[in-house]
Amino acid sequence: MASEQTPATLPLSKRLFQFVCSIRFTIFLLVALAIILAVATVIESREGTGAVQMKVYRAVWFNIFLGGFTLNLLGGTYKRFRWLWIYFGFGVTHLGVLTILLGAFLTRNFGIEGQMTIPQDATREHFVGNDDKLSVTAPDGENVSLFVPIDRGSKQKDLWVSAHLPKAGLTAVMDKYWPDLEFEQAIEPGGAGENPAVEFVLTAMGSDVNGWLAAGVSGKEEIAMGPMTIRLAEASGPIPAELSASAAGPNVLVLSDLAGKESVEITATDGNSKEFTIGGKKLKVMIRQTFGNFSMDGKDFNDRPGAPENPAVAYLVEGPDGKTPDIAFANYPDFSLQHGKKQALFKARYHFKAGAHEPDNRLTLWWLDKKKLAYSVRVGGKPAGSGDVVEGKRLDLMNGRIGFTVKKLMKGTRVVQKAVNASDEARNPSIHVKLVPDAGGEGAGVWLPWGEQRELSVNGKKLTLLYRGDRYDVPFSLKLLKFKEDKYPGSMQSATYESKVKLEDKELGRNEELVISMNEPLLYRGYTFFQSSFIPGESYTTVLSVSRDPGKWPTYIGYILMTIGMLLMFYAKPFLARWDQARLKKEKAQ
Amino acid sequence: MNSRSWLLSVSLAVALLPGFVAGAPQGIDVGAVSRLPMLDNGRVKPFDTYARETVRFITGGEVFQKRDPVELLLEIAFDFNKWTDVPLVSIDFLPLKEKLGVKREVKFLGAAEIVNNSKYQALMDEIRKAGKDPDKLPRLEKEVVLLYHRVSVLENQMEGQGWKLVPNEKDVTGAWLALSDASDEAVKKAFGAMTTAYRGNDASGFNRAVGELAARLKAMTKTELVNATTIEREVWYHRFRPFEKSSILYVLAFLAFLMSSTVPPRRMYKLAVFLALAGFGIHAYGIALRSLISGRAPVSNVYETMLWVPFGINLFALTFELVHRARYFGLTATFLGGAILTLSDFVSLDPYVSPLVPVLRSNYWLIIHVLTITLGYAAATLCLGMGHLWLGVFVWNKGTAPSLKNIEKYLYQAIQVTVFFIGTGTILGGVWANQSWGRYWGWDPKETWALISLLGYLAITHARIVNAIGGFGTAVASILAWQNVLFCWYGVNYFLVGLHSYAGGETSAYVPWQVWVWTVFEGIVLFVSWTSYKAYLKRAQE
Repeated sequence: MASEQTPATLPLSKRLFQFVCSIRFTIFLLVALAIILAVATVIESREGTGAVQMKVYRAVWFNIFLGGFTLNLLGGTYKRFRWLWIYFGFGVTHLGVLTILLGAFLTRNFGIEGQMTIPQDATREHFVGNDDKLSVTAPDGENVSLFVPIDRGSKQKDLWVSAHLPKAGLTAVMDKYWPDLEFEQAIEPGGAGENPAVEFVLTAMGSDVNGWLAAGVSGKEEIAMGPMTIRLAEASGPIPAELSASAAGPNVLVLSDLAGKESVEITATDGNSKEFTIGGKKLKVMIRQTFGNFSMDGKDFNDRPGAPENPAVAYLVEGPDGKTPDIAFANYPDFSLQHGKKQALFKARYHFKAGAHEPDNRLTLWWLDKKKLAYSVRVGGKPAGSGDVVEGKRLDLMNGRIGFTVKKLMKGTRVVQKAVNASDEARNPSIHVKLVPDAGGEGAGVWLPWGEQRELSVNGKKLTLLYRGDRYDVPFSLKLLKFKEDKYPGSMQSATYESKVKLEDKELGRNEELVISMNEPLLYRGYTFFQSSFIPGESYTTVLSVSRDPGKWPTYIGYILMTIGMLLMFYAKPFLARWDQARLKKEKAQ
Repeated sequence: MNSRSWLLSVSLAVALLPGFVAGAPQGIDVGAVSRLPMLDNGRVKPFDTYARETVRFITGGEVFQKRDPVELLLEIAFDFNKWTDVPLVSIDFLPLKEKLGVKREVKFLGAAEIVNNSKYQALMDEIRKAGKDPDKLPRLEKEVVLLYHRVSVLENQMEGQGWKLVPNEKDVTGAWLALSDASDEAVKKAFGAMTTAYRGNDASGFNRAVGELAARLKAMTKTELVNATTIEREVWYHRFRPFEKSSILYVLAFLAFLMSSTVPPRRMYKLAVFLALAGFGIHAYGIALRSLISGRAPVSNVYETMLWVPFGINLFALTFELVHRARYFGLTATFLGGAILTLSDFVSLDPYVSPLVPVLRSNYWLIIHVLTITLGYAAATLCLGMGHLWLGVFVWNKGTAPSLKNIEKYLYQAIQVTVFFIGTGTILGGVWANQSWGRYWGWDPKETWALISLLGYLAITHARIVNAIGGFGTAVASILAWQNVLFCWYGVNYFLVGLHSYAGGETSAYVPWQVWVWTVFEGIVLFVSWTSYKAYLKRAQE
């Protein structure tokens, strides 16, 4: 093809037109687009989908860039195309790309995407858009809606998005996003000598851990850190004697036959085992682990620190039928892991004595007569010293393995609720919104979890804030009849899932039952419903993603054109050239 | 045949010999044990595969001390106490070795040694107490947990506790029972006899017991879950090692193609084409076997694409080779085929068949999309190889080889194939996405990188139209453009998170050392070529 020259003699407008149509500009655009997109994917992995949508894909400059791309395509194709067969592939390919761009434009501007969540037996006539919005409504109905440029599931992030409400004389500012908002107890000095508290630092294995304890505040009286359990308690008079680990006697597991005639008792200490005969069967029982506060974390058994609220013992019975592991709970004698799986041969009962679960290593801080702070230590179940506590002075415990320093003593405290971000997981995605009066002065702020509404008073006006996607009504309803999840055999891994729904359309008089599954969406009146995910529970809640996309067909047509065009361009040129020659010959002959 | 091709054929014959690795207790029918079906991890597989997975998980490789994995598991199961002391649990993370006070050069530790290591105990205690999501632990902690799991899996081999060979008679889709938990009398008896015979070194008794066990288990099995042909096929697939064999053939073909440029060409060239086609045939056979075993197209994880891409490369290249008889296609493709297949054995990817997450299941468009786009990767990789070939010939001949024009022409043909397949592959991805999510384009990192890859090759084709680049530019550009493909193919799954992440595995922040080696290598290639090109231009001016 001819090389491109832009003679300086041409007028500027013509030269500009030539540049816009030039292949050199195309190459520049292709490379620039590649670089922009590469950077965008990095932004996405660092800051999340919402951020990259805001900064790149939905940004005005990016759309102008794509506009330039479209112009170059249009101009270049128009300028180079000839009505000859060999140009056919070239023309079709580029027309295909243009059609795809048109489809994308329609989707972007007129398409809707969202999610419809339907609990079991519930009926829905609307869905919630995927773009999260913050809506602020004043009492007189004045309203602003702000796009929240972060997707739920991102990590904790500072934002700065604001909008002005002129009539209310306020500016709404979204300044923080936390994926897992929780309110946590914290202490503030004050109060009338109630809830004495200490802030401390514990040094173990070369690192410092900060913490605090408050007497009389539930869950904050005792804390287990490393090998040590630390407690703050109030007392009067001298330092009380520590509870001793051996004082209460051993815990025992009692196994008895179903009739309750024969029974055997075994001391519940880890690794202890005993052989016995019940109902004519020779069995052997082994204690695997004792728990003061049993909890299950997935498949793992855990012993949570703190008071022994759920004492349990894990044991193994070995007999002619093989080994059967089980657990006996002191507080729930009827509960068995093997319940329903194996026929029971005997009953197990766990007798737990509270004192026996006193931690072996304990540091107790005593607030004596609301005047003096003292301590007593027990190591390995035996008393290991006591004395007065001096603020800022380190106590060496367990032969210096652990250092303990009271940083601050507060004689009286108030307990307050403090917002914290508990994790990076989107358990309770929330944004923080501030309302700042134009006239200056104190504004107000509030944490707003997703999907919830909060009211906030500023300058005597009560404003309503809502954080969620836009609501779209559909002209029919869907009811979840049944949700089905199939798993791979012998595993907990999902293989596929589907929802059986009832579609009811009063306008068109339709009423039928349908199944929406992973790869078979429901298409109805321009909306497409896909099986997206589900929320497990006592009964399932299905999550359908919904889309309405007017750009679908242009895009598909563009796809087809592009594919055919490329085939013609790369592999059909010799044939097409022959047709051209034949035509030229014919024309010459005429 | 001349002496050289004779030598090639002999080494070929040796390489193709399949079979069981001999070792340990004499006369035991390992094959019969290998074929026992087992429900593990969501699918029914032969015990052989379970053994391979287990031994690889514990020791880091399928073969430990030259023992067949099934043999090794039998030994561990029936002579457990001995194996708690044998160093066999793989440890390869240096900082962890330092932390545990293990010497750098140590590769394996005994289970007892690990469990009794006080530093290991302390680390595990800390991790347990912290109670964090295991996927979100820092690298060192992850490695500790991995070590813990390796030890637990090893412990699980004691008396076959982890061998879920006994079908669930009550619930067809329910979990199977381990041999030690079985309540069926015949199973218990047979397994007991197996144990006694093994321990008493009674091979024929053992074989008899295995036969009884297999028969009883078969009687208990519901037919819809287990297909004996597939089980047999899977055992054969792992024993035959088709990809290893075809990679050897590719390497031999490459050498033959290389020699055919200096040795009187006809015969050597014919041999080269023959070897390449043989390698390709075994390669195709291997892929077909794998598809039959998994019941799906063999492109559902990075490991499988590492088998499929060299297949695509050779498919394109050998087709072109048969058309043009140009040697360059065969030379490049057999080298790439041998290299990628060999590499697939060395990277730490799971080479076994595993179940798919729901969205990837039974979707017609998905299969077409992935097959097409990976053929695009294959064509792109062929361009990469031919780009290197062009540069190599250029540097070697100081820029004046007559073959350069030809290689450039062929390279451009490969680029066209690339544009077509990555283009249509991306489009088909859109069709699939629209079917599955209701959105044909979502700027997901993987699809964005497919587009970036396409843009790179489009830039090359457009640049050639206006003569902005010649042979040198095309060669260099096809090397640069391939780096996008590499990132799209491999990098996105590991460094960027998105919808396609289940096609890859876990995202991890650390860059494997191979990437640095590759970067340095390409840097050197480009630097040397550039220097040579500048010198060539200077000479041309004078």
